[in-house]
Amino acid sequence: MERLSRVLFLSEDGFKIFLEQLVSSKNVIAPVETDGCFEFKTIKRAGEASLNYSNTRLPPKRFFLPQREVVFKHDPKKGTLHEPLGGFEMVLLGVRPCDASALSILDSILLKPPNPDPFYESRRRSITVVSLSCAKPGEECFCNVFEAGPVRGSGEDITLTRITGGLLVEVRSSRGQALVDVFKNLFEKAGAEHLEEYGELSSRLTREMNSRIGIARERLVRLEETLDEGFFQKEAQRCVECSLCSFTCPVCYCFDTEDYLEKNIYMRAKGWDTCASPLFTRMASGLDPRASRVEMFCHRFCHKLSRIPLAFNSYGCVGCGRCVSLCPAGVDIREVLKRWG
Amino acid sequence: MSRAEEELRSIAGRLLEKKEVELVVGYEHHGRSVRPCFVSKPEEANRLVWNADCWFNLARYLRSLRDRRVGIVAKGCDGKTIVELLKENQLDRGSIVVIAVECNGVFKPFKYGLNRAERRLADYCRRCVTRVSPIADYVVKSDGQASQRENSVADGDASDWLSLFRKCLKCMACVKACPLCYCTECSIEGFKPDLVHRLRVPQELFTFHLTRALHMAGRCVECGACESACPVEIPLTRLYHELNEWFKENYGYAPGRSVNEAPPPLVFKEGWKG
Amino acid sequence: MGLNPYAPKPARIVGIKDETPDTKTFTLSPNVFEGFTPGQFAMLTVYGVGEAPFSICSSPFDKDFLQFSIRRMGRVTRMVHEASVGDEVGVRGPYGRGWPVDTMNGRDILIVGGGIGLAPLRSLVLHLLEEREKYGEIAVCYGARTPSLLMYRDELAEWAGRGVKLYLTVDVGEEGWKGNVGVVTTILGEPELDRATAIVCTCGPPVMIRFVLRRLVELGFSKENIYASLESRMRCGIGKCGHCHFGGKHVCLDGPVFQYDEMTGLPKGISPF
Repeated sequence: MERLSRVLFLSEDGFKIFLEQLVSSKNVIAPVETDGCFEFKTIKRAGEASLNYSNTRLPPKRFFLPQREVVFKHDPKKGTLHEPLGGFEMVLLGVRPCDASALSILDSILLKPPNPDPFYESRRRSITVVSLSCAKPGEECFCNVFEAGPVRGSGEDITLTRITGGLLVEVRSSRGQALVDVFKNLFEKAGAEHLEEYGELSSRLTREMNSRIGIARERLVRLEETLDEGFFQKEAQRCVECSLCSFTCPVCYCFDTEDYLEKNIYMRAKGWDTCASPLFTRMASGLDPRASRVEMFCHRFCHKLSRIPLAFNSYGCVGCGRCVSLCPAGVDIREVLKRWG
Repeated sequence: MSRAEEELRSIAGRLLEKKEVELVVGYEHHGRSVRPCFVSKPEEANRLVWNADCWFNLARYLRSLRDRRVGIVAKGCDGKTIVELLKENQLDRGSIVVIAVECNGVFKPFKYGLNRAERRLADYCRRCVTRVSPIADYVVKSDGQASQRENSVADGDASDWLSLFRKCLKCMACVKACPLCYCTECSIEGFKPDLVHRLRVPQELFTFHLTRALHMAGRCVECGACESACPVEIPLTRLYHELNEWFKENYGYAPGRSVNEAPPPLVFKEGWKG
Repeated sequence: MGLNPYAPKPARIVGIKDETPDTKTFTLSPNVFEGFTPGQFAMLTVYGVGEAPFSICSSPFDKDFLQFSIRRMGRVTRMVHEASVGDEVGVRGPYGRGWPVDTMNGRDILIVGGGIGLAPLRSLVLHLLEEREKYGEIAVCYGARTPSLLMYRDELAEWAGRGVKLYLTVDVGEEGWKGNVGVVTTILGEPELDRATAIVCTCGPPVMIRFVLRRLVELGFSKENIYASLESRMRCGIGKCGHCHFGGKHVCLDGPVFQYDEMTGLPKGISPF
């Protein structure tokens, strides 16, 4: 995917019109507040979007990697049914930079040749991702560690950043360009003062976050060598193996498959799996290469911080902070980062 | 530090010092909230905290610590859980020292992606009337840590269970956070493949939740751990509360009240009711 | 949409042969692969039931069919065992890295198998026998728990006739067994090979592999020439599902055949050390 970067300015009024026209012409998904909690939902009117949000409880991963999808159908009489993939066209508005960066990690894993996942690829190609920079990083956020935010992510098509009088618009891909082209009379050329404000905002926020947790992430690969340390044993004691962390993670991509029969058609579905499940590595023979609780616990961190980087050349974490905040037992990946980073 | 916390730390410190217990399970500060912690040295007892963020039911850890002498910080519902676990022969009373802390209810946990920072009492605490654990070796009196409790069922409509279940991710956090869900082979976790396949979402979410609800009926102490752990805010405790009410009406039984009160299914006799 | 990597190609069961009380060899036709390396594996689908990885045990020179030796273990294998000739199954692959056949020219080759672990090695033996003259000595050390659990019993003699030195052993003898009794490590020293340059390929239960590797090094085989095939749970076979991601390696992509030094870098559990 080519990476363009054209910078434009959208005034506050222009943004309102942009939203209204966007909603009336395209399928738009945006954060909506329900019961005090934000979640991505289809919006029919511009006003339904709540753009004053910290972040959504669940990441937008499911639009690209649904919790469950049918990947194969076979009719015993007619043979394998080939159904064209499609109908995924939409604009995902208001994705935070961290969650957008998670998409570029998923790209490097799921689109890796020679066997790209066609289901993910098709969705990725049809969904335009418009990110909205963070103005105030949340309590548990650490996107700075992986350069996944707070202002600019790496997987979005357009980056929006609030500045005085409107928004700075960075066009990041040809998909983004195509969307901007549809509404081209709304956008202005960004001025020097806009770019200056953007630059200041970006460095201020990054500085702020670096003061909380600034580490040398390159050292994380060493995690692998020091696994037997008591640290993980102590932390694993707290873990209740609930797998909430992987289900709410914007990056966790591991999947399971299930075959079944539906109306005389043999089906295969694939969907989210989790390394916290004791069945994750257990073979039919009963052998399990990762049988101990501590190793299972370790794997989550090692996978993200060293095993994914080794295999796919990108970190498996974007620092969104969901697992830190949602873990019922208070397991905290930042402690692993601080110790090994 | 509150007076209750001070007392709690001194009790825990003493227990560890005199080696009456090998470790104390309690809560410690973590970020803007608290989390479970395991204290094994007397000088570390000052890590312990007690406040209205302590929603996690620490009795969850007791079974995995069976072979050790353990002190546990217990709210009313944690204590009720211990009672149930004792009735189900899962624990040895002699190896547990219960440090009961008087509880005025805990807050709905502050979690990611919430709009309001306002803290409010968890729904299940509004229904609860147990301030102190029914089982205790030490009792720490509260000094008014949390807000008033209303002793009334919280409002809000939870009758549309189907649409609530549809939100479920089947992440199993409810099962895993529950101290009474201790089956090594869980019927709804897919250990016996296919009973309720983890992947079959949303088709089997209803089966999943009702199977679990039936297993919790007459056992659930309504500690709210499942509901607080749930990432999509399904008010599960309310469902289990309904089933407990049915038990209470029909058999006059409520879980967690006393070790001497046997669960009706165990002592059921022909024609017995109430 | 590009090719759907999760969709198997249909093939029919054209032959079923009993190997041991719980293992059968299935012959599938047509051969849905254009070619493969011995040691590679395939995902076999029982429609509507599930899918599991199996080593291909036939020779790459057999263009008309594929063979898999399958032990009855879980749900999928139980259903495969219940299948009959004529039934349709799904196959996708070939996946993974096979035995290093390109490095074997002109060298002695030691093949060490345990139980059903001989399956991926059978593919290698058949491959080598096709052009027997290209290689030095070929020795097969094969062990099973009991004589009746030895795989491919009727073929072993034929291999010997075609230039393979065969060394058999069982953990526990049975009536009529006149051969060696003892674990496979006890016979590893018997073949007379140029140990410094010989290529060693081994597959079997993890605990066997561990002791075989140790013994091979003691006997003076060179670590860089030692390869083992490891097993792990898999779902996709193409490095996407995460189940076989151990350390920085995917068993389905970087394995199942690993070189000695690669295995030392794997985490405890999957590593035979």
